[in-house]
Amino acid sequence: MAAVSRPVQEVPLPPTELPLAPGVPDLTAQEPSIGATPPSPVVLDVRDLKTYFFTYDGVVKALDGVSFKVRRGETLGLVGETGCGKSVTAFSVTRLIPDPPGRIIAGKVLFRGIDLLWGLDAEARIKVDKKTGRAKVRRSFRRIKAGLERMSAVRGRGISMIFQEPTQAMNPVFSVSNQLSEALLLHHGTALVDDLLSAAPADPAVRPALEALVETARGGTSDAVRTSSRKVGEAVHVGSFGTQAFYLSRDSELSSEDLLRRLEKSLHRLHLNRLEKAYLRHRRKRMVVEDELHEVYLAEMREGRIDRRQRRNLRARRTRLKLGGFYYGIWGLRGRVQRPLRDESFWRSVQLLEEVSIANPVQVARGYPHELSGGMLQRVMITMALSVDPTILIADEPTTALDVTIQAQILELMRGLKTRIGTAILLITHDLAVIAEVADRVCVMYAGQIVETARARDLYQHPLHPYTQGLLASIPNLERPDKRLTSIPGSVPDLIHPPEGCRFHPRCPYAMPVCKEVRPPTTVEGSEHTVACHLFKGTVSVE
Amino acid sequence: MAESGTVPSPPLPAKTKTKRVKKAHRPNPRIAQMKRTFYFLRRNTLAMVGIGILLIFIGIAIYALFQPIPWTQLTQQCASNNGPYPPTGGCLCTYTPGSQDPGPNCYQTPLGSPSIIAPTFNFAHGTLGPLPLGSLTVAPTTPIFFDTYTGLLRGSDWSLGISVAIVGTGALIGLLVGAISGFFGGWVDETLMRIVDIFLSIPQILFVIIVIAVLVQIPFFQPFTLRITLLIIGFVIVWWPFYARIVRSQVLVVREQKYVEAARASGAGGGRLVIRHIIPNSVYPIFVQMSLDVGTIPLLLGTLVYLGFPLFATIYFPEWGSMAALSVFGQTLSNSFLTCQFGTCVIPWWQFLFPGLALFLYAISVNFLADGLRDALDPRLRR
Amino acid sequence: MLSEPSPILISSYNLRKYFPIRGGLFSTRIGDVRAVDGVTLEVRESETLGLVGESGCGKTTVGRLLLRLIEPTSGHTYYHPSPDILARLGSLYSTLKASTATDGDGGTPDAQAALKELDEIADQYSLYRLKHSKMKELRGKLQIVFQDPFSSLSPRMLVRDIIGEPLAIHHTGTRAQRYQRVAELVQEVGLNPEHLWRFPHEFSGGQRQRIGIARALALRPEFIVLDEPTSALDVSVQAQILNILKKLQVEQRLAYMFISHHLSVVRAMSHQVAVMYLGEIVERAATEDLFSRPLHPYTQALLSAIPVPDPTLKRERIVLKGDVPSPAAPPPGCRFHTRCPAVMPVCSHAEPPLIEVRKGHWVACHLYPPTADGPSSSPLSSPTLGAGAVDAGAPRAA
Repeated sequence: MAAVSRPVQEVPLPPTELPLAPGVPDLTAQEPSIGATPPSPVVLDVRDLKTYFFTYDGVVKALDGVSFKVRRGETLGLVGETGCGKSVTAFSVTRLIPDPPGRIIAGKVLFRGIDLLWGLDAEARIKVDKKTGRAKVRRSFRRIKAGLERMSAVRGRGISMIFQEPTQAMNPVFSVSNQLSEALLLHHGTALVDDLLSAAPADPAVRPALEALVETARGGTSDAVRTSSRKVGEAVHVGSFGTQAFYLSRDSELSSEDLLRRLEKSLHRLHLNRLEKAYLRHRRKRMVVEDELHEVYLAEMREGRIDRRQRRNLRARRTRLKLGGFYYGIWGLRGRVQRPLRDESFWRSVQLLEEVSIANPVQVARGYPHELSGGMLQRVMITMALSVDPTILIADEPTTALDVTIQAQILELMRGLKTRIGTAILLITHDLAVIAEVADRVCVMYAGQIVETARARDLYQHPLHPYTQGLLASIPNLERPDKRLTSIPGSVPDLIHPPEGCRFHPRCPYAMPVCKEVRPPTTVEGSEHTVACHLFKGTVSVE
Repeated sequence: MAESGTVPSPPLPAKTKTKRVKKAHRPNPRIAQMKRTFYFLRRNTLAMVGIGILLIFIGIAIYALFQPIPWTQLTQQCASNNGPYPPTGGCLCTYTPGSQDPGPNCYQTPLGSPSIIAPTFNFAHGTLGPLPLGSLTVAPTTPIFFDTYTGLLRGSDWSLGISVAIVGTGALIGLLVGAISGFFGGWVDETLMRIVDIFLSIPQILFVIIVIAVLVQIPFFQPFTLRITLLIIGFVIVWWPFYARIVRSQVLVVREQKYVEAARASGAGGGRLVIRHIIPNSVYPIFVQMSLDVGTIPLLLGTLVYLGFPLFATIYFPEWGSMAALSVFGQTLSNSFLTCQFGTCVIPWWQFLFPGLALFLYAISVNFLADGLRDALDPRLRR
Repeated sequence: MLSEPSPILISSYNLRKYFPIRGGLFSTRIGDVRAVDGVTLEVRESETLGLVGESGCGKTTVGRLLLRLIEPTSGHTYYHPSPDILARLGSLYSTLKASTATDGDGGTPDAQAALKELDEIADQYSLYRLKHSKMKELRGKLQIVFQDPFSSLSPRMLVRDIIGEPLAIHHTGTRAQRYQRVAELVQEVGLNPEHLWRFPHEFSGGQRQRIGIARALALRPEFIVLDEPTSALDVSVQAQILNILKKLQVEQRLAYMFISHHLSVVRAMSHQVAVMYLGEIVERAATEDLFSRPLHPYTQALLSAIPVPDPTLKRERIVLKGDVPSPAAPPPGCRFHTRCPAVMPVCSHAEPPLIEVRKGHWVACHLYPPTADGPSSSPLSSPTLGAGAVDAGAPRAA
């Protein structure tokens, strides 16, 4: 048992880094740092999170003091059975709990140092009726709404989520590229617009690059075509044009002259007239105002103070800009004026789809969600979630609804993305095998509490908590088929009247008298391995 | 290590002696479900208001059932008056406009009626004077005679009774047709649905008016009970298709559920499946529709009777629509306030306002209740 | 292998089920979804046949066909066939196969005679030609347990009625006797008799699945189709249910068809395993044989795709490219050839027949052509592409 009480020092991030200023690429996201020293900074620090649901049948104590940390670039697996509260944890972090009947009672969620739960106590007053066990919750919906709006600065930008059923996660009436563009414009909008505004289709370097591309397309390999199309993109100063050129030259059986003509025609989309330029500048202004508003929200959460004046000003500016945009909506103009931006975002989304190895991205982007299979849709969701460059990606049972071979594909994709992009991932699942494939560290949850946290290797080889041991023993292992399937006796407790003391004690084979009374403290049992069980008496960790 | 076992909680009693399961020992699960529904209803203010009003109506209806029929009283009163008896029996009541008290042979507010004096504006004399709520200012020439208050009471009887009969029968027919059509599918479904379409294309009130207006001429239908039956049948004919549609769509869903397949795997035939599995799980949507219709039908009924519909043998009938008609058109045209000279008559506003208000309150309270019920029964909310 | 294989309980030949796709002006049939396309299998008494495949491969449909919950487009199933009939059927079908090179009506008189005799046998014994009343009697013996414990129990019925329904349908005994039997059943699956008076929604998933099992056992069946019984359950509950199923199999001599896409679970439960892809069986063998020496590339990919709860185990994984094609338009030739890592030119023209490559091990793949007998010499049977480090990784002799 190590003698350290806290595993690591938390390295505070320099304040200029915290809210991502629009347009500035986040270079520090590139560094992967799993287990490397010095340990990477903590991006998500959940401390003692308590979420209760106030229902007709009583108060469901879904989360009762959950604490964990996610570091930059690592994958934390949150494992547990149905009803243990792992999805509730994910939703609590992003404050997506449906407010009647649920309520986050206590806890701190520090996302890069910002307390996401600021303002929580002011939102509701709770009185518990001792006799019936029911509670009356008086909510101030105004404050709740304000809180949720504040969270919009973080949700979808700093923290993004993907969900379980990919076939139901996208809007069926909009095309795939439409929905991908939505995400893109939200975060990289200003970069897109700047790209467009700085396009130089009349640059003298363009024509020879186009001709070179046509030349390569005639007989070259796919890689060569890609390189030369990228050069075209650079010549024009618009990266996505390179993608467009690539697909144009790859997919058609055109002769060289036709191809050249086609390419030049598509070059036209980069010639912007005055009206289109004005519209783009207008959009850019709107995006900048949105970003500033989000900064204000972040500042509120960070400093714990509401600046009403700034809010009001920004909101007013936003509305004014929105209304001013109707000028471009004059009959007949709007479609034309929006076209450059739409095209640009279309080709950017094609680029995104390429990154997740979708074989025919142009068709997929043009198509609709119902035309795609579950595996493809999940890839699209992953790329949508990652396109905003989030600091942490929360994946709630991403592969449960998929077949085994498709699941293998997705897991491989996630592993690849992990090493390439280095986003932190909070992976929530009930499948211990999936966790073993992807996660660096694992937290095991039972009945609303975290019972064990460890590095993946350590957990599977030396599980400490009896529940973890029982879980591992009951998985039919392909490698050892003769092993008898053992099961944990009993069933998951009712969270309205959870057992006293340790919530696992009715089913634990090692239950001791103290387990029935006292909730076990979380003790550290070795580097990065913590357990909550009376059997272990390591150093008590602070949380 | 965790021991292997298959014992769930709670642990089994000592031995697996399969002794007879004691009957005494069971909590009734359906009561618990009802308690839960009531809990949610209680928290919905509008629904509670609706329930309250409805309870009052029901109470009134029951109370009214035990009220003695006023015309009996009247006949007795007239008998004691030694007044002129018209050929049809009953009394003639003559009223002098402007006078404060009802004339001889005019109906007195029966004992037990609230003697609320409703002030009214006398156009003739420009005065505000009291009039007993109970009186009708123009004399009827038939033996059936009642005051507004009693009319309100009796009217709720009729409204509730007729609408329950119509809705009940219609829902039953619709349930059967919808269940059969949805369950069997194929040509049965197609045929039945086309029939439903045919019925749906009939304009409702028009149909009822025509049917009854025509059939009432037949002397067979003179008796009162037959007329009511005719009315109910007429309504049911135009009403059941809505239920059939609702049930059918629910049946289409239930039919695909696994428990139906499981029952089929055990050898259940079509009839058993429909009765024991499909219908109990498909009735939910009907309940809401039924409660809404119970609110709507009295409105239609009132409209019909108001339009002069020969439903009752006489328009002097203690039914809300009838009372309103009475007040507007009068017993004899010369006496109604529509045709009277300005200055010679009084607008008996209480004779059409209160029945109308009663109808309105009734319909809206049923609507509130239906809303609340639907919210409380919906398994998706707050589970 | 074991001492003597138990007698065959159910034997199916060439089961096909096509679902028509309706479209066009008058809802005419414009195509078929070929959910099951020529499945031949057999289940032995008191043994489990595992049926594995991904979603859309038709395994659920096969289960329902075997119970005659849906009618097949063609094919026959024989229940408790006597050994003579089995032998006769075997020879008839091989005559057919030999005389018709392609699918279609055989021209030779041998084939015609064989078809006629097959028809006669089917009239007498086939499950699908039984009269309604006889079928109803049989229903008790052939039962099913569903995947979703939430929708497989009628929400408006008490548990007592749910379990007792099969008894009530067949009017077994008096009401009191039925009661008694229900109480017995409930205890057999490990629930409390008090639970009989509750509604299904008051139970957890595992308990509901037990109720479903109790219901299936009501009429003392001989064969139960288990359609992904534990896929909707958590791991520890799954272990409980599987233990119950195994115990019941031994106690009551039940035969199971265990349909699942979790290969590890199937391995723990089955004696024989069949792998399905897009409506056809691609490999069938005894469990140990299949898992230690998978022959078909699809089986190998499936086995390697399963994540194993051991992060130290580094495996080489076969990751298949692309998605499962739609069963309405299956690829020509071998249906797997669009995704197969070992595809050859012949695979896109000809459908490989299901051949017994080793004793009791059947494969449908051009890598194992019919002329070779004995173990194949295919390069794909090297252990690194098999199911991971099996049995300490000692490669079997190819």
